[in-house]
Amino acid sequence: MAKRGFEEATRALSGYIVAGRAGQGTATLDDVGKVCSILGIDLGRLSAIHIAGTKGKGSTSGTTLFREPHASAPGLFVLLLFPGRWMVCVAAASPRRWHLTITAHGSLD
Amino acid sequence: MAALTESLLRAGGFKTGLFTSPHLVDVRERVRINGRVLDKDTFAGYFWKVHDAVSSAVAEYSVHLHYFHFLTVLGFYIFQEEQVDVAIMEVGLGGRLDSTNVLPRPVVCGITLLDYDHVAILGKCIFFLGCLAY
Repeated sequence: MAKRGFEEATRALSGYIVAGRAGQGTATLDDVGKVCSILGIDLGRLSAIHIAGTKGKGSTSGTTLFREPHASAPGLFVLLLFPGRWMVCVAAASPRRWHLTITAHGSLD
Repeated sequence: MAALTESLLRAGGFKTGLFTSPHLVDVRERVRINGRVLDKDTFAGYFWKVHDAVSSAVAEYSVHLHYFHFLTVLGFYIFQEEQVDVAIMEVGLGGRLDSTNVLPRPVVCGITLLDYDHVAILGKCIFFLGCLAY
């Protein structure tokens, strides 16, 4: 069997890259779940904190103070009602575009 | 936010797993245990386990994982094997179909600033993007 070290792993990993889809192609969440179950991963048991958003969600904000560089206008508070759900947003205008931040969301029941 | 959360929890005595993207120099940066990357041999061991599982999924169910899907599964696998107390998962592309959404019951969900990104794949309307995140 071919050697299976770290260098070989990085080469094999490149084989998963699909051009033009930012690494996310046609595979579905079901497919991801199937591979997890093959590996015996119990996702329900994992204590997970899930972080989304466009900016400031990742690794860079850990070391620097998060400060939006070009949001200038006062915040506008909007309450959006979905069927059975609520969401509070803060919208702010900037010279280039609008920013929308969801500050809280939840269910009405 | 993910890195900050990780650092707070680690300071509080929890064993943490941190999944972020992209990486800058080395792919191991994406999956950290207690804030540190794994050594190359340990990472390779986990990598080949997951790679073999994916190969058998291809044969059995014709499942084809792509780069980020693969890394997400690898992250989950490493966190389970390393028995972390808490996993901090940063989404990748974002949106409803993001592979980190296989998590059935996250303890906490955080959403930071929403803005236009990956519009070629996710769409161009900020309210639509907000709904995806929601």
